[in-house]
Amino acid sequence: MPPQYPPNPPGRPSALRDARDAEQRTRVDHLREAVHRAQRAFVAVNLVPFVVGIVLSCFTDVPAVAVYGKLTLGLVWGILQCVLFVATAWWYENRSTRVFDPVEMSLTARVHQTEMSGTGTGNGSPAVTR
Amino acid sequence: MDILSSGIVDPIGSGARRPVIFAFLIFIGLCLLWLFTLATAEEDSPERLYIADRSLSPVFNGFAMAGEQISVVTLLTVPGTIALFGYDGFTFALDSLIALGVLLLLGQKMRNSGGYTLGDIFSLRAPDRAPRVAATAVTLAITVPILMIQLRAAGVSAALLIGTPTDGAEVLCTVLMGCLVACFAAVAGLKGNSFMHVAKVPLTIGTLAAVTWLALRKFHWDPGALLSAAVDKSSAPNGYLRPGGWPYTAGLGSLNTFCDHIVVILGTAVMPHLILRVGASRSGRAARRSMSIATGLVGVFILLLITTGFASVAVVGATNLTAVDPGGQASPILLASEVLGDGSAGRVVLITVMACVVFLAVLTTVTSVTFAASVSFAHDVFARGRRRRTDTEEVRALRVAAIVLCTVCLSLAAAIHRYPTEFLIAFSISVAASCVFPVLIYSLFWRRFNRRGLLWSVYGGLVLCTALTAFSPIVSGTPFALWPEAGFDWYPYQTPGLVSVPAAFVLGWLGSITAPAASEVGFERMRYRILTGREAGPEAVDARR
Repeated sequence: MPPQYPPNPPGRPSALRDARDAEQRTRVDHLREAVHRAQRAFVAVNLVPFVVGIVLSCFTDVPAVAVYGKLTLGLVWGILQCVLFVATAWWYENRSTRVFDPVEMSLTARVHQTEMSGTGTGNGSPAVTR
Repeated sequence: MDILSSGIVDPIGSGARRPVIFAFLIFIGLCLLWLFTLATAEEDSPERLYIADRSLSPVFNGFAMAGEQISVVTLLTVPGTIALFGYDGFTFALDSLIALGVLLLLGQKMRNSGGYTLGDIFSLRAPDRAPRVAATAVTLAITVPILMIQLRAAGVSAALLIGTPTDGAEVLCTVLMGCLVACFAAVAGLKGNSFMHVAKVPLTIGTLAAVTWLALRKFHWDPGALLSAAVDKSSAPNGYLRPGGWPYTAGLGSLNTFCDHIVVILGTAVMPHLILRVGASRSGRAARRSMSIATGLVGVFILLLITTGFASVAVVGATNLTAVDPGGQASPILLASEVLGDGSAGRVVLITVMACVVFLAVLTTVTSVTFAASVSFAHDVFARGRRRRTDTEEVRALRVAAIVLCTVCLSLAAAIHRYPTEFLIAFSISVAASCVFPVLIYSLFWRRFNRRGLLWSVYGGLVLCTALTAFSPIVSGTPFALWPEAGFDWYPYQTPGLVSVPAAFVLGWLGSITAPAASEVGFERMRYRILTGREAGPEAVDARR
């Protein structure tokens, strides 16, 4: 289905607009890819030890191996997994705040600026508050 | 697993009973005062009532989100299962924390989408009435069993704390707590409930930390000695820290346990009341930050619960724990009553504070779940009817729905008082994992997903969960089943999730590919919106993709 966008506003060169739109789309794609990369890293780092731990405890007796006194490998593994999860959540948040949020804000600010200046061809892009 | 199905044992003692009852009455009085304050501030704007006009800051909402995880069932069941079943209980405790990872990754997208009920999420790719009705049906299928379990646990724990754990007192306490919850859910709104969640988190963590600290003091600050005592005083010292202690496992034991873990993680992450809370954040970024804060707080809470579980068996002993409650769910209360000497003022204070934590956990979590289900009805069904509704009518519908829902759940909780409730937990979590999680993933990430796929996935998942739960070993054929003597348990797994979750994914895929493709531009616009929280203009969407 072809997109139903309003026609170009008068007085704005189409080539310039196309170049800006292409740049905007590239930035959106880069942001999306960067976010997905960080999410994949978070999932991989947590999922691998979690699945290994669950598989070992469901199908083997390895978690019962004593590490120190009554402390077993299964308990150590679980506590480390807990700590790792909280640490990677902190890393993910930190990375998102430092890297992704500024890009996201610049994208949305740019759209906002375009709306304010009245040169955009958009159909209005209010922040999603509802 | 039967939550606090207690025998006639009074672990609190007559010395501490009077302060506990006084504290309970003061707590009820404060709650009513708070309720009157909220009732005088009439909220006739639906969004202000449902999601506090999306005004919650990351820190405030993060604490409230952590509070959502501190339910009476988590607070009592996790230490209980660890105390009685050792390592297997320990691995289940970690699931509650890992489930937050799902929300951490999806929370920002859900908030950016602009939705706050399951109906809103389902309507992302199919904006008409049928998905909203399906969402409300799923919300009720998830919340009604949870409410029944929580209300029953509330009544039994309240009866235990006031020193009269008889059947009649338990049912009476269930009814009283249910009435209080109905009033709160009908009047409080999300913001009022959030304040109570925020107050609950430091109180719970502080109390558990104090109990743990006192238990460690008993073992001369040596965690190794505490663990050794836990092993020695457990019901099976040789197998306590080995896998396989979990008794509620039917055929295909290991695969069953593996399946339970996956379903618990996927199911608990996408509960309707959590989605509502994510929607109350100021922005997608604020939602993600609040999830990170909640992760840290819940991490501390889970570690304290694990320590409390081991400490309770080390201090109280498995025999005494099971004498009070065969499921061990009285263990945090018993630990609080045993870590200090009899007759000391500190002991009375500790038990009283623990009682307040339990009451607060009951009130807040049951109110949250009731409120989310009522919002779903008012927002997705009532407000989208053929006739246009005013805001005042919608708010009134929410209040009526909350009272009706609480009354129904209260009656059911009282009716099933003497029966095992494990099948309710399994059903509720499996419905969330089967009907919500696949739709959420498809809606946010799959270009081809459409209305037919959504309805097939949701209703298919719901039918499968109902049928498989009915024929599972938790309903018949095993000692811990609802009807142990009956034998129609031909489905070998305890939770239907191992079949229903993949089946819901397959049904969603099959429905989508057999229906005409949805608009590419629509998908690109939605992708832009969930990435940035803004509607996409043409400059951000490439229609050729």
